Amino acid sequence: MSHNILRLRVWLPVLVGLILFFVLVTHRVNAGNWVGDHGNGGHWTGNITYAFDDSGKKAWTEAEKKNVREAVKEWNDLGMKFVEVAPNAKPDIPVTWGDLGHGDSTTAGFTALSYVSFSLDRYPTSVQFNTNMPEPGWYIDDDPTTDEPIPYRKTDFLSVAKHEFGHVLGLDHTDAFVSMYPHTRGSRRTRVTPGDVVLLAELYTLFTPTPRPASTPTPTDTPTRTRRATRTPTDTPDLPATLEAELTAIAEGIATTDARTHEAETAVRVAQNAGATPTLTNTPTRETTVTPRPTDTPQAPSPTPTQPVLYSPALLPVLAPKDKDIRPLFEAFNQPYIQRLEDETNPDKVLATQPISMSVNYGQATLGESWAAESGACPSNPPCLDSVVWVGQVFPSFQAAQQWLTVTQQQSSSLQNPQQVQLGPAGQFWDQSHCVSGQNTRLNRTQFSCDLVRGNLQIGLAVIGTQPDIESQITPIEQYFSNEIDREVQLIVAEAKSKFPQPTPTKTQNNLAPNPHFTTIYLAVSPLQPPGYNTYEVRFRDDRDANVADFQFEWTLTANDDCRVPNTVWLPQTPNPWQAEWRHPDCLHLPGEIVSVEVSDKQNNTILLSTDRPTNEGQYGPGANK
Amino acid sequence: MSRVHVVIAASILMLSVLALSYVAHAQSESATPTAPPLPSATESSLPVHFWITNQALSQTVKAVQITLLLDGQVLFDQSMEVGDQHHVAVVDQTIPNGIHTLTVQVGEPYNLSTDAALDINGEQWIIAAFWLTPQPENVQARLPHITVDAFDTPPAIQ
Repeated sequence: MSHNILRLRVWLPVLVGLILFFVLVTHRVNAGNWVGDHGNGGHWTGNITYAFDDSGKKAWTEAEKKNVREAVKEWNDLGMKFVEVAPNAKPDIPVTWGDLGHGDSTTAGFTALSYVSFSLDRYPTSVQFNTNMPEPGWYIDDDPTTDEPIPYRKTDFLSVAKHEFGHVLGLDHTDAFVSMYPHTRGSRRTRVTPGDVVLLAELYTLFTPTPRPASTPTPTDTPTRTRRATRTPTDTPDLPATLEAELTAIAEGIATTDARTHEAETAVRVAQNAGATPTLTNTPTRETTVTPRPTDTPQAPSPTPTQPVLYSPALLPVLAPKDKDIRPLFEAFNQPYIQRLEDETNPDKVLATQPISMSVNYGQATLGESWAAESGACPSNPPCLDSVVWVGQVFPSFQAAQQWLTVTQQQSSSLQNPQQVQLGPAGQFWDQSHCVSGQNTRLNRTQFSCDLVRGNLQIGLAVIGTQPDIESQITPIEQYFSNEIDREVQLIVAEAKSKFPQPTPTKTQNNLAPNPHFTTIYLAVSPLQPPGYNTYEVRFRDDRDANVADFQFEWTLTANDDCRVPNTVWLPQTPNPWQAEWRHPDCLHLPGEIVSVEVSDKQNNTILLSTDRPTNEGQYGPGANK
Repeated sequence: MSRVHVVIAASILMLSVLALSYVAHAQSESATPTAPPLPSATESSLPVHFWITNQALSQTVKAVQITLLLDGQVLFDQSMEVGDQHHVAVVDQTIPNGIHTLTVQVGEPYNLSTDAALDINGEQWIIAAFWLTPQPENVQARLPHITVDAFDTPPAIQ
């Protein structure tokens, strides 16, 4: 007996220890529905619960909670599933106030990670905000649903909350000025941007077609090699019931299970957040209407419906996958789409007595390309065109976020009353007169021109006319690629060009041969107190003699409503070394704007094209400062 | 003091003057700016805070050497761990108003270098970051690169 007891005394602790050991290593404490990817990140598969935990350095105020909820809402608007719960409900993510330091490099917010046992995987466990921010401290917005300038030197709590919940979703930092930029940015509030959509798309697929009947994916915490989860799109915009069959056919042609589809769909959400597209209501969820295909090759569209169907052009970006030919969509939606557009753009002419004929054309433009369109020969009396409407979608094709597009004015003497207009940000649906347009009186043609400075665009042209068989054409009239374009963009361009063979550009191209005489180009943005109207300066110098002249200096500032000022200046001669400086005093400067500078000669040969985010002083150009 | 001593002292003095003038001349030549002196430069100095951060994510490289040079003078030269995106090294400097060249270098195995012109006309926070983001198999990898961002308000780590 004593011998047995002795043996028990020896083995019992070992046994208990082994049991505890196995419990600890197999139980993923509070890991929720997190799916790790062997050290390469991970994602959530179900609801992500969070709670305001008052046990930290201080309790939460209602205003602070309101800001966190707004940050969460922005992610949820992209299809994420954050759910607030009570603090005692064992949330996945308790949110607390803590002392994260106060020094030369203060931490505003922090998302804690824990390792999954016996794994490289780490999963988010809590979010903390710093109670000890340096003066003047946090900016807690009373109304975080609106944007206004952040008081000087204050730290925008909403932006930091958005960032930390991005970490909770599994996102890492990125170098673009989006939510996941690693630092706060002074006066600039972070909102959902196309760049966030791109980042999120790498982890989550929001719109993945599933066979009918729909099945809800079962959350699992089994590690998997794939980084993309299949989700039930219960929070996607509803579609009119009459579209189901149409969507099924279209989706069969374009359905993919990769992030592209997600991206297209979330692009709509961005647009809806911005109030740019109507809300879609009262239809079944899309999961029951589409069938996945093993290939993502676009299929032939279904026959045009015989009866008009009311729906919005917002459907197009819903269905259009990134970097794909959206022609089938336009063709399939031809008649009702135009009908609907007419309803929207010509409310006084709905159901006009004259038959409406129309055609739809399409095109694709990528970085650095110009596109022009003509409606085709058309008699001016009686006028054959009621209106011409551009529709399309700007895709957030690459990681660098905030790709903005600028339209430059065509130098065409035959264009009457050309208008300078601007495309929207990447990922946002845009329509109607976003390009330079005018009437070519000599040829009786309506012309358009769009010049993409940065971004990737698929574009469609809808012509509403009163004569049948009006043909539209979209012809690339100019294209050039800069050696400043990063490799990623060039790959996208190459892929797009392989799909859409382009005619040989007519313009002389020599921007790929840097001018060795340029020694310095400075692009300066005066860092005055933001926000405010500040001075942009561009200075450059050429080491050749003073007779260097006839340089056309063209610059374009983008990414800001007040800086859509494409401009061209003919620079005067200066003493040796040739040097020039030009200022534009009427631009509102905010950090992170994307600026491009182009220098060309009078023969319109591009000498230098640079596109970059300016620092307070950027320096560009071949041989710069060497 | 003998005449010999006087001669020796005078010779030393002359040699010193010659040496000093030679050094001054050499310095004036070597100080010729590679960038044009732009008119905004003044004599006043301003506080500039350099934040250096390694934002690289890699499971194979553990650390990289990051070096900052301002107008050719080394400001910072340290090995920084890969994977800690929330660590920032801070170098505070007082810099004369005007245009300066900041060079950021990343050592083995990437061997990158980039120049940025800084227009110092107010207190600034300069963030230099090295980026390397491994991508899933089906996503095009981005090349490792350096970014330099400048702010006129203090940033915070998040």
